[in-house]
Amino acid sequence: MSARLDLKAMLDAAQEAGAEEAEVFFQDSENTTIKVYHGQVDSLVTAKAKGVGIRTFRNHQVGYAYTSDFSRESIRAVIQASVENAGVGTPDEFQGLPVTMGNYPHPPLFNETLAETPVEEKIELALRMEKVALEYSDKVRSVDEVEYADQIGNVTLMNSRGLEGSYKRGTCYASVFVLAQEGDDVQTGYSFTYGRSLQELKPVDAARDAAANAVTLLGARQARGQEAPVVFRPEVGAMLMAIFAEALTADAVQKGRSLFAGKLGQMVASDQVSIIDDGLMPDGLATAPFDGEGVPSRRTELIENGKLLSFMYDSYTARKGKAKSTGNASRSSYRSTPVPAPNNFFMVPGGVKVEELIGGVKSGFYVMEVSGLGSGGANPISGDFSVGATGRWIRDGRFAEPVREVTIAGNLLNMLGDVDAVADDLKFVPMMGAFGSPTFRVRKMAISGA
Amino acid sequence: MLSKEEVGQLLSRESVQKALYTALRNGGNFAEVFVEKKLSNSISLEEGRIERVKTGFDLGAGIRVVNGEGVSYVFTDDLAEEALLEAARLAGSAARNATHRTAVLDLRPHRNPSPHRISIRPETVAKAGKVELVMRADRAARAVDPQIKQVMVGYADSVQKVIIANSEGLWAEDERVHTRMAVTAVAARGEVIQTGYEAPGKHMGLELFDHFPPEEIGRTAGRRAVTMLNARPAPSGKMAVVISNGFGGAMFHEASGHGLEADFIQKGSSVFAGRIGEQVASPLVTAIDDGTLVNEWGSFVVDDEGAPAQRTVLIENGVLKSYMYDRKAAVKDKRPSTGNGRRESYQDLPLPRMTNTFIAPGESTPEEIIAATPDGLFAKVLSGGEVNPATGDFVFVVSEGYLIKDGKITEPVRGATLIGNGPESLQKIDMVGNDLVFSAGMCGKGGQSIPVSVGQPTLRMAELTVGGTQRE
Repeated sequence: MSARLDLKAMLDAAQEAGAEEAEVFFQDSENTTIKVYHGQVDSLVTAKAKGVGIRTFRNHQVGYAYTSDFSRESIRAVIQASVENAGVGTPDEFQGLPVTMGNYPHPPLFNETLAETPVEEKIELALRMEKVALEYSDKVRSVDEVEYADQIGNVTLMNSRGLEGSYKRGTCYASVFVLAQEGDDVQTGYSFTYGRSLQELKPVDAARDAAANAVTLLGARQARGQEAPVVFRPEVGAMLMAIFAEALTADAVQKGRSLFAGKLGQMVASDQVSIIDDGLMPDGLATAPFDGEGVPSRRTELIENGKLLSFMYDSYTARKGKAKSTGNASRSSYRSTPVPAPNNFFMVPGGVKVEELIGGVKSGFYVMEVSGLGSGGANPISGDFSVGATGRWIRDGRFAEPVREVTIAGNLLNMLGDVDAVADDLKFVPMMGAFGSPTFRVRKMAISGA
Repeated sequence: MLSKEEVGQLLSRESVQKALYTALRNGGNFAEVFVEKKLSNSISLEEGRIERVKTGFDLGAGIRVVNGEGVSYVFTDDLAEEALLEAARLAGSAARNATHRTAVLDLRPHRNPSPHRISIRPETVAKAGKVELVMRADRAARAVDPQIKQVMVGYADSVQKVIIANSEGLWAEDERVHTRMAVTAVAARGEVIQTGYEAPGKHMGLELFDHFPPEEIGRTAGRRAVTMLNARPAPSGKMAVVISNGFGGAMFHEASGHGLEADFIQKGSSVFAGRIGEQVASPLVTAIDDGTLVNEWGSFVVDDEGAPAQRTVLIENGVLKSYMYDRKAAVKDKRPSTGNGRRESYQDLPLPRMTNTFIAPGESTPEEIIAATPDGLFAKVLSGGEVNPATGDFVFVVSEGYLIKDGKITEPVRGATLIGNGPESLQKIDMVGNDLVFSAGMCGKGGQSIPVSVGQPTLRMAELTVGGTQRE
């Protein structure tokens, strides 16, 4: 493979090319992805990938460029492009490298056994999930897809102010997608498990959970249009957290595109609701010693018992908003510039058991899946909310018939204000980041259906 | 097309041939090398300021070995011959127990002429020139109305060069040039905040802006945001829905298109499985996937497996004619690929994907369709949607909608969601307009995002469930 990059030399070269300050972000990773189908390996993908991104500053302007090609010409070209890009950005007095650095915490991020696990064991795990899901019920028609994936990655960040940090992180996950059928009716179910090593995964539970989700929904029909209490299970709650997270970034707030703008210190939710972003959570998928520009990670209370306490800041929005960075400069890879985004973001669990929470509903809707959330169904600016939903009706505190093809609608802020119960079953969903939620109940929402 | 020197810089034919031999040394049915070099630029503006200017250089190769039903794929971002051979060895080692041995044929370079003329190549335009285009869109959006409080403009261009070579002797090359601009305008009046969006994109260079001047893109987004300020919450219930042309085609893309991709069909996880020759839609519906459309956003010369782009009639007068195939699905069904094998990058396995998918124009004018609708919803702009291909259930969000009363478009409504079932809603199309237009989008599947365009004339569904936010 290529010789290791000299990051320090890149910083020097950027300054020689005209940058006043510079930062390099290096990343490499080893990945394995396995899909099984019908008791066989359908595909096995393995790779070693690497890349470097360089951010340069001059005259309060910022530019960025990245490359996966470490040839001398490419490195020269990428530095040149970054400096050139800084030349066309709009000058902005708040641009620049962070001032707080160093003293990084050491959260546990890597389990040696993941690197030592042979691929056969990973295949075995995926095959077991397929088998367990198939055997769950004779209504399970097929297991559409089982995927196992892992990644071991190294990150190194250096800047021209002398910052240098690095960490190694390993994660693995497995997911299963099940089809159930009864007569002409087909329903689907999905579940997953994740951890830092295969020993931490719960493949059997995930397979059963996916099968149960699909089988439960068989025979689902449209519910009557009405206003009723709505209960969100953690998997759906976590998707809603992603929408709230977007509106809680300082970037969205400062630019007036957040429903939380101008509401700091006010009650924005019912007193049942507390929301936290935690960059140091031990099992968190987004946990790291520092953020995408080298600010130490931390835990930030955003909403406490309904009161809005803080937003999520990177160093740019912190300077602009006369606040301190909360370590939320996020980078999905070397291809991205740091932007304010959540780390491990979740609604704090309450003290109620799920059974009690359901038991308190005379007639309401238990939401198991939503669709359209990511494609405009929830607007973090206006707060408009309208999504498709699938789940079960709750009658006299018990699960009754399955429901499909309905929409639930309302306003996101009203919804937070109407949360009247939060259960103790916090769960994280490893999709599009690391968002977590317990089961929670909203007093009343508009449901449209038959 | 790549020049000889550029191909030489990427990889020599000898190295690729060696890699194919190495990949199949343990046996297996098929081996393929996919090489990609991509140069991309993006610029983003908000609050009137150029915030992010980014340049990306991507270079890498993926090696695929097929052994029976199983596929092994290894990718590398190091194109040195030894790295490529190491990747080939790794990909081939999964075929240890192969019973089948395949000879590697000599590579026969084949040039497919490109119908896509690129007049202003992105790499020939200075960054400052691109920045100016972005500023022009911003100014035009802001000038629409003092109630426009915020404007976001994104500009992106990319030049992707690919080489696909396989053990059957194929050596194909393609170059895809994409340019796109997206404007989001935010309008506010008191507590009410609304957004408007417009984002044209084509398989072309900066001549895109001759067809879509930045001012026009900005103004369209601005107008949409301001219009929606006057909107009241949408009603709920079942009603006739008229879907406007252009991005309305996203509805067919989601509600039916994905279910016509052969991988879903072969797993039996599509509502369209086993229904070729059946009446699956109203006789007014003819649906086509066409990767050959000149300069269209989802077009290419060869797909990411080297198969030529083609025009595939999916549904003709309501009768299901064909699915969309990549190589893997085509081999399984013992038929040729339809040129729908696509991937996001060298880091991904190809999958059956759509290109430019549209409903063919019909007889009615859009005015006739509205006039023939006593009561219903006019969905002028959809912001996106999702579908579960196994059940066909879909959901769509209407970002700009109007009530239809007595055959006339009346007041705007916001927060409307359309929900239904793909095959059921295709049967309910009872009027099709003559005003086919295409619209650019990004389509996600299996974690891979690729450019596709959707197209549709104005059409009417006799009845669809609308989920609004209006409280009785």
